[in-house]
Amino acid sequence: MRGDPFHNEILVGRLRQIAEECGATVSTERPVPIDGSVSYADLVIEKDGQVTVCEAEQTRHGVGNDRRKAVALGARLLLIATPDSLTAQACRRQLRRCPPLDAKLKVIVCPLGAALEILRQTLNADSSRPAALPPNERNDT
Amino acid sequence: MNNNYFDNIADQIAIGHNIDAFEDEWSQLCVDKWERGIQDPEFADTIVARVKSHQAKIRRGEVIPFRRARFKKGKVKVGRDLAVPPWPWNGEIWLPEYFFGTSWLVAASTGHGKSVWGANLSLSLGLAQAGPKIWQLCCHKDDLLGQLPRFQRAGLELVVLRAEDLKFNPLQAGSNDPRAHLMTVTSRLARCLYDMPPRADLILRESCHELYRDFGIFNGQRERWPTLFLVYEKIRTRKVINIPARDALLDRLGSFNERYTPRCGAWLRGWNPTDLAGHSILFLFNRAGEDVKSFLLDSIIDHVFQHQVERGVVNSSLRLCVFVDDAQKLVNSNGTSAMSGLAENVGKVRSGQISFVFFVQTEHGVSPHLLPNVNGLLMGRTVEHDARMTMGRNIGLTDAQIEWVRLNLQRGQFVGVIAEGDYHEPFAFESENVDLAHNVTEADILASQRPLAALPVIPDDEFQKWERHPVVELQSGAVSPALSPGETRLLNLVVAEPGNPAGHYTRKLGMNGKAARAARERLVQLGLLREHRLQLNRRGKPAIVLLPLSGACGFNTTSTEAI
Repeated sequence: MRGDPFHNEILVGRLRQIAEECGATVSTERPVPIDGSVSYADLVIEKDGQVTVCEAEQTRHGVGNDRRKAVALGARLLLIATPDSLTAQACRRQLRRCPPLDAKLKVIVCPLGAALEILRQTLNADSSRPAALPPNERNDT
Repeated sequence: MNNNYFDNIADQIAIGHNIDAFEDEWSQLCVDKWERGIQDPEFADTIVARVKSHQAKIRRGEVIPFRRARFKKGKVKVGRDLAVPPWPWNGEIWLPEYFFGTSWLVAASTGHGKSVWGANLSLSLGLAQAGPKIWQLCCHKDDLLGQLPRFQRAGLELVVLRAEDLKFNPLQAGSNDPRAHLMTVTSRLARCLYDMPPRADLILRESCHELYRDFGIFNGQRERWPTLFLVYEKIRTRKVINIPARDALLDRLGSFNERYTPRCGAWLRGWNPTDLAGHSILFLFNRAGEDVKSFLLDSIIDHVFQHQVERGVVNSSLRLCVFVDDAQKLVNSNGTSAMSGLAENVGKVRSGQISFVFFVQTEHGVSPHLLPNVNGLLMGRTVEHDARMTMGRNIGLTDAQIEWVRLNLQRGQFVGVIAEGDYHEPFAFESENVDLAHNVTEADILASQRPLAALPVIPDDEFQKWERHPVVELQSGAVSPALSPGETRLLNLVVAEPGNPAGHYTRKLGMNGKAARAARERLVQLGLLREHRLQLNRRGKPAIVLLPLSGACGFNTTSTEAI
């Protein structure tokens, strides 16, 4: 997997561990063709026919691309995990600047601890209904 | 009888001489009488009949289209003349030793018997009275080991040296001028270390020069010389240097030294090639790497040449004859017009008292600077038309002779021409077949090396067990003295369980918070750990997650052993 050990082992590794514990099918670094070039999604989680994309971001710069990858993969939820809340806020601000999407995609940006909890709830809940989220960490597009 | 008739007989006599048609006494008498002016029709009929008869025999293949070789006076047996019937005449070809004072080239396809002919010739040359010393260089095969019992049976000394048996320091100039020697060796070494950047080349030369100065070579010291292993270590430990160029050089020189092996090269004073030139030696380099082979051959030969040139000896008798088996790569021009060191040296052989006999598969690709200095050219069979025609034309064969070569030349038979002496016609001969199979043992080889035991050598004990070091080495010496036991324990634990919050390590080690924080900050400062702030809970401050950096893994082992 591309990225430094903190990205791979700490952020993505823990998200993957939770997803596997919940019985989901997880693929890492899945190639996603976008506009003629290939990007890679950190984690693509599939359970009960629902696709969830998890991305680990240490800066705000890649979130626009994360959203495009999630749309291309037909995901229902994009979960962006950051190391801390300040980075999460910056990512949310960046997302607000992005143009709106036609696709129905729920984007959640939060620190890793919250992201782990949200992922566990989402995967354990009924696949037809996403888990209820705290209002301050929800960012619907 | 008119003038045309007389002219015709004169032409017939010339043709008959060219094809050796007058072999019996009667025909020779007829020719002699006719040329003296006794123009008897019976003589004319005999002359014409002998010529026509011989030409018919050539056409039928009963005799070969070559004249008898006029080489009977000499002490070196070359083979049996194919133009002379085997019985009752003695068709052996003998050449004087001085014919081998200039270089020879033998071209034939593989399996034709070049090595066998070379083995016979070297023995015959060695047996000649006051004959030269013989060096036989074999880069790919070891069948020439059979020469050892043959030489011993003939009462000749032959030393067998494999690449691993050599005690040779290429930086050892011996009695040669050290400045010229150093320049030659570093240039040759740079050629062997392929695609070296120019800056790395300069570093190599500069380091060798510094080592010469450190050893006092320029002040007249001649007992001890720097080795290539010392050059490697000097470059590796130099502080102020262009790092990419140094790494490029160390990569190449390190792997070269590994193939060269300390057993062969770690000698402060090794065998001097000029001393080796006093012995007949069979060099077997079949187990050495390709670059090491060419480096060793070039270095040893060039050293001897340089010694002779510096002595200023001109056109004296032959002292050393070098037989180079499978020399195609050595004499190949590689498609360039630049003159190689060997080609240049071959041009100076008469003054160097050294000659070469090169054995190649084809003349194609042989350096154009080498061919003009070859005075003996032999060709064997080859199925390739171009190679046969080129070689045949080079040695002046007629169409009929080339056709005969194509159809009739067998294994062990050669056609050649010699520029030495007063007979320059092409001739065909057959080499005596000998079985080079042998049962030479390791003990025999070691016993053959006894004459070299008297040569002075000084081993370099420091590098006798040299092993290549990594190009990039961790600077463990800079950090190890400052690490406290607490810091070492923390570092070991982070390496064992990476990616946990700092508090996890503190609790597990039983350290107090203040000491743990100090240890953590110090390890981060030393570049062994990295801190990441990670919010694992919804509330509160983010945790500090610790990850080891690449230096910590190597450091961890050393520190544990130290503690």
